[in-house]
Amino acid sequence: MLEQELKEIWKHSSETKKIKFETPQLLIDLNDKMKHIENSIKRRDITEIAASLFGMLIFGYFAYEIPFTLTKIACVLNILWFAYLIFKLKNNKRQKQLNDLNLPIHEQLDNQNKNMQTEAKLLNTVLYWYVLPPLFVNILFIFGFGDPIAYDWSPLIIETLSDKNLLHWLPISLKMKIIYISGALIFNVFVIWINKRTVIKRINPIIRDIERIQDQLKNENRVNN
Amino acid sequence: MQSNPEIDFEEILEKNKHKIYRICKVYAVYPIEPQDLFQEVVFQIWKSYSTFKGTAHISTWIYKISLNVCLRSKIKFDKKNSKMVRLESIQFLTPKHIPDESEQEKYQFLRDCISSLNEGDKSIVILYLEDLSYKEIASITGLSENHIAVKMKRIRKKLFDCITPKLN
Repeated sequence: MLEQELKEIWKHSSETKKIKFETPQLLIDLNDKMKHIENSIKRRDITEIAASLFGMLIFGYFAYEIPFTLTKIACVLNILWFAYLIFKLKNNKRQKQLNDLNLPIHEQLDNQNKNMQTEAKLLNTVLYWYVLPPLFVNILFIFGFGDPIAYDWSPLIIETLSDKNLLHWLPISLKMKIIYISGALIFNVFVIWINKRTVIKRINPIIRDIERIQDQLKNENRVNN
Repeated sequence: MQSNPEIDFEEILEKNKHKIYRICKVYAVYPIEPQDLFQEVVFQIWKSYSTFKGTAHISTWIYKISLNVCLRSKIKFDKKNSKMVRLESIQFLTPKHIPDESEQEKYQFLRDCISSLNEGDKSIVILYLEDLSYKEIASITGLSENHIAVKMKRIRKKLFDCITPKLN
């Protein structure tokens, strides 16, 4: 009796609103929304690749122009690192499970959990793929940098640097080298911190939430919430 | 799959809109309105429509999408407050016949009792109230029929214990 009564109460609960679809417009809206989302994803992908390609181009130019051997090597390594960065980000996207809402709830939660774990792993390991390689390359770049005048660098470049009063900003002296390397170290510590913080503050709570719901679905005798 | 997917999509929405709205009403927690969740579910149904294989019953498929969207958005919304889809072409009007106060009060009791359950139990009890068989609930949740039967026994007791004093 109570069971039937509850089902009746439940069924009538949607009568508080009359839902009306403006059909032709709805299909247009849905298409627009879909395009908007697809375009944002495309834009984000293009930005990521463009930033890396820009970096490759700049260091390609440096490698060609700068006469110091160690710095030249650092430029080439930097280009390789940018290429690896594109591969790494693309690969991470490929590893993610498809967001298939046709799946049963338990499997869908499992996919979300795996995606979050992949994201957490990527951010937790930035030290090894995002920080250490370019840091090493940057140190090589800075240490390899010599005096442009002594190395008989292109007169046009030396003139431009002198005119703009930029020569003393270059990492030529030991003092400037130490300042630049310290700056790079501080920046990279910040990068690690911000990524770890994202994992702790944003991703881990989501993983815990997903696992809690998975447990609640599977197991008996769980404490509510 | 279908001869005219757009017409079928409209029919599906029309036939299932109340089911979807009932689920959204339970999962919508401030600042999310049931209407926001409803629109998100409609968008996801439309997005997934081309992948619907037709092997499952359409209403089972609708329940799957609705619950997946509601659960997913709850996880995200609690932490990130990310934005949902807004579709102006879906209108929520006040009906001519509004359920009387006592009916609305009873629903509020039921909603409170459902909300007191954990997320896992909540999704199962919603499907039970929708009058679905254990087999259908099992296919939507991804658990076995036996598992559902065992869980339902306990959830039903919890629900009845909660609501009986309120209704009397």
